[in-house]
Amino acid sequence: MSFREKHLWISIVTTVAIWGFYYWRLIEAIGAGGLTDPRFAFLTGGLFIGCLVVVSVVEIILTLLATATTRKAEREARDERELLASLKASHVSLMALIALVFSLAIAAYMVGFLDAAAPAGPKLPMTPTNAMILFANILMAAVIVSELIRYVFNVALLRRAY
Amino acid sequence: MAPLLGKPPPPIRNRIRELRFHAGEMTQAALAEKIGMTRQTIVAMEQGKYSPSLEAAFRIATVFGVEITEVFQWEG
Repeated sequence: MSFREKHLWISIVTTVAIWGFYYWRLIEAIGAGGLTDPRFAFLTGGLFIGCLVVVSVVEIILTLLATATTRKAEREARDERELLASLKASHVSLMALIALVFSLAIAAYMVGFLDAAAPAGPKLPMTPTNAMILFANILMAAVIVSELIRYVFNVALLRRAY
Repeated sequence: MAPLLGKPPPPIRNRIRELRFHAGEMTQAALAEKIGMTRQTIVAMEQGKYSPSLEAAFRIATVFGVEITEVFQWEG
């Protein structure tokens, strides 16, 4: 396995494990009525920063391990096949991100529109502050999903020789 | 519409494996190092799954001290 592929696997594992944990806890908090809790921003913010630190530390450690188990010439090779696979995966990932953000924009507009047009007036089960925090998390999820698509697609391209 | 994971490789045959054998059984890793690529790419080329750029093709031919057409042949 090339250094590039090892690094992609590291990113896949850390992204799925750590951000999966973060969003699992976020969904649990929302299920427990967190969207009306004035501490929601602090709780999710703290968890987010904690996960960001853990992702960084785990990626650094695993990358050091991958570096130690890969020959120097292999690490420093500027391989055209890997570059082509990376460019193609980035393109697919960007298209996915655009589609996700566009879908989210439509969904957010529809939620706002339907809430405003409700006969009894706006009544979303969340505070305006928490609505912003929730939307920020959903946008972040779109970025994470698009990155995950890039990693997985890149590995798939490398595995089939590009 | 092109398949998501790319089109099939072009009909280009190569003699890299044979030339490695005649070059003192040069390893894939040694060839990869000489041309600044990964061993996995040499494997992909030998299996006919990947066709290198013109620059990489020239580098490979130079390593073996032969003309580029002695390494790669169009089969279309």
